[in-house]
Amino acid sequence: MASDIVNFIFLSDILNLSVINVYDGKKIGYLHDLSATTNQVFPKITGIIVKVKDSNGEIFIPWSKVKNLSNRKSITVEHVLGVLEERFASTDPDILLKKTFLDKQIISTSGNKVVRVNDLHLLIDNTSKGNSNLWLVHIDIGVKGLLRRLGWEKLFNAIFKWIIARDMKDKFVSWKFVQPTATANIYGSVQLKIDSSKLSEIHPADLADILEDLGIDERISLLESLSFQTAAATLQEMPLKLRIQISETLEASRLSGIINEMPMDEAVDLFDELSPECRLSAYAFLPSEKVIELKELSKLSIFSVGSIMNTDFITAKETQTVKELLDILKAERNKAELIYYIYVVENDDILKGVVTIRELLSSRPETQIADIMNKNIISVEIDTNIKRVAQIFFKYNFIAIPVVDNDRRIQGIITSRDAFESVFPEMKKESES
Amino acid sequence: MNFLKQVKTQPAFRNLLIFFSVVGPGIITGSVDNDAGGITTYSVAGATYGYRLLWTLIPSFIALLTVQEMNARMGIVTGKGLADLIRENFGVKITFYIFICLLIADIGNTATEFAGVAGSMMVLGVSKYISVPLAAIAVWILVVKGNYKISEKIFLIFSVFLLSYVVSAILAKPDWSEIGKAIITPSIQWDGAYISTVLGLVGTTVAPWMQFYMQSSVIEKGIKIGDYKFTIWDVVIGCIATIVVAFFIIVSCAATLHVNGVQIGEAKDAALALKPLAGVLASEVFAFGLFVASVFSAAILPLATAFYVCEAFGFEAGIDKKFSEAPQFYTLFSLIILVGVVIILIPNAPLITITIWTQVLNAILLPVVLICMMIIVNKTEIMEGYTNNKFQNIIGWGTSIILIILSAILLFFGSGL
Repeated sequence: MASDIVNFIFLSDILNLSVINVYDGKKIGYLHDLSATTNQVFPKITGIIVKVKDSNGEIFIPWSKVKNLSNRKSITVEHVLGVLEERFASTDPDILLKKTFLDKQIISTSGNKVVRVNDLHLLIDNTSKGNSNLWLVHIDIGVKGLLRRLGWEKLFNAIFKWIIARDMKDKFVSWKFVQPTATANIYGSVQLKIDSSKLSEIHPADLADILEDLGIDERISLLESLSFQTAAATLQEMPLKLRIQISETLEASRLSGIINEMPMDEAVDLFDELSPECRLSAYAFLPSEKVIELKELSKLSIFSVGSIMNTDFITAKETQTVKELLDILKAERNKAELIYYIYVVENDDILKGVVTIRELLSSRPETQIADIMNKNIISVEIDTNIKRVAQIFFKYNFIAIPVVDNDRRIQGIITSRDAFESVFPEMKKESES
Repeated sequence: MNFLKQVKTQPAFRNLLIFFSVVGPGIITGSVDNDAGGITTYSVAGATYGYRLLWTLIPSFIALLTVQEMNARMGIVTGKGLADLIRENFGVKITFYIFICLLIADIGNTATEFAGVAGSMMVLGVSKYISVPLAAIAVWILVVKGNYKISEKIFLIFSVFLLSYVVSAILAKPDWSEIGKAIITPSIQWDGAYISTVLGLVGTTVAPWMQFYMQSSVIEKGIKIGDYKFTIWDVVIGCIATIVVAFFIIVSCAATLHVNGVQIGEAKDAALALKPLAGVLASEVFAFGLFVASVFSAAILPLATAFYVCEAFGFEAGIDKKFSEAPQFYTLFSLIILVGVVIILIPNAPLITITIWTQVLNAILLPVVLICMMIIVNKTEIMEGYTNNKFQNIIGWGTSIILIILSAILLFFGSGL
């Protein structure tokens, strides 16, 4: 290179410059992008992507072959024909600077906000022996960068100087405070995992604000890069709608990891809002005692007995006789799921007692039901949690329990089988297969 | 209690609940569409050609529906505004020139809205030096001091008021059988004035800034992709509302002004001309509708413009942010209103020139924005599984090409330049 001093260059100064082969002086194409490795403190440029003249193809030329970059008129490279696509042996795939940053959003971790990239500020380091190095040091987010891209920088700077009597200032974010929101790598479609270590200092509430400003893909990939603990704290700071939207987009394993870190009440609130499919797939990854707790605390009706009760049951009046009732039973025997219990009700379905079929068969036909019925009935309310119902079955050894509403009107029955199946879905699966 | 619980578990009811949680963006956008400029176009069309132009509402409806559905889909899938997507996919230059044009066009549009406020209140007997500043202050406070939820509800109520045109049309006692015939039999007349009115009708329905507004408000709602089917209904209802209001404006002007051979130049004239023909009530209802539509759009237009300009250039934006968090956004919003008001209050301001130039800018912008949208909506890397299917592409490109041709014709012949 011509000069020995360290100097700066903007990405917009060199983009679309002609790339010329130093051997024959022929133009290869235009500078399309720069690739850089991020395994050092600042991204170090590893090569250039050239859009080939007269075709749509792009080629990669490693940085060691790039001879001159900073005269801002053209770029000369040692380009040996045939070695068009030299790829990296590195395990750490390089990112494309223009595709990743230019016009995209980044997070400025010094200002805790999302900003849009107008230009990239590169450092040419000629001090090392042999080839010079190029580093990405600043991200330009200022109006000056915008004007530069539009080709109006000089005009506006002149006007500005004339009015304010000084040059327009650049507004930079140092790379140290730049958190990319998405990265495009040299292989194109493959999305790299984002290193979000720069976000660790940001308070979850600020992080939540930042994530709200991003697009859905960026939001998800950033959230996926956070630890479960940070992600859980951040998620809690977001509006419920967004929380649901994000949870339903996340992979089930990650979602359950995040939920595991949440306080129980927050987790229950979120879970109750999720779609049933999403909820079920998240259960699969959570420890079983957590799932039981979540279901127990849930305010959702699907976890209450009302959702699984059976509404076909047999009722009788106190004034009826055993014979009448046996006739009814004969008529109804195929309709009702369970005929072992007959529920005795008043006119408005209020539960008074119960008789078993055993009691009917062992009584004289003319006996009134009122004389043989059990008035001491165990019943459950319609919004009782299923798990509680299962416990009742376990304790009392019933075949079925009547389900009543707040006014003790019978609404249905729940069989022990239904209750246990709902509590242990896995048991149901096993018995069905 | 028990009944409520049972009802809540009904799938139909649950769907209704979800629908109400996503409803808003489509209906509001559709209503803003019938702004002062739109009402003027419809009134003039009705007064000049009677029922003969009613058929154009059907293609307008299809175009509107196609474009807005794409915006809603892009918003839900990407979570990014149209301005964001254009900036990220087409670079800073295209974005910048699009937004300079949009900004200027929307200042013009806002001035037109305040002209609508002035005109309608004049019919109701209030001076524009009182009505316009008051309306501007009310709008400013509503947006800046309120929050999105309240504003949205007020806007939704505003949309209901637009139905006053239905009343106005019925009071005019139109000939319904003739209307029925006019809708299903397109009549084409090959003269310049007729064609430019047709173009004006279709053109006023799909305005460039609306696409940005639609997409942003879908995002602000936080609608998830699972509820997309409900958002479609929101969009459909919004488009129907737009077309229904347009229909009744044309009908009320056709049944009275056209029948009696009254020619008008702007919406205010229509309200005034209705007085001797259909009575004071019809006239006042018409003026009230114009007032509501103008105030409504005078709130949304500056808001939307400020929003997408900030979005494109990376400034913070949104009415749920404080002034200190989003200074550029609020400054821009206030400036657009201020300039709009000043233009209207200057005595002898060249309003007609401003209107024409606003229309010209809109006509240049619409094709650019539409093409950007069609390219973005077909990119798999952005839309994943939700790119346009073949059918949507045929309708989408068809609509775009027709609108582009229409805009071009309007630009060269219709604007009188």
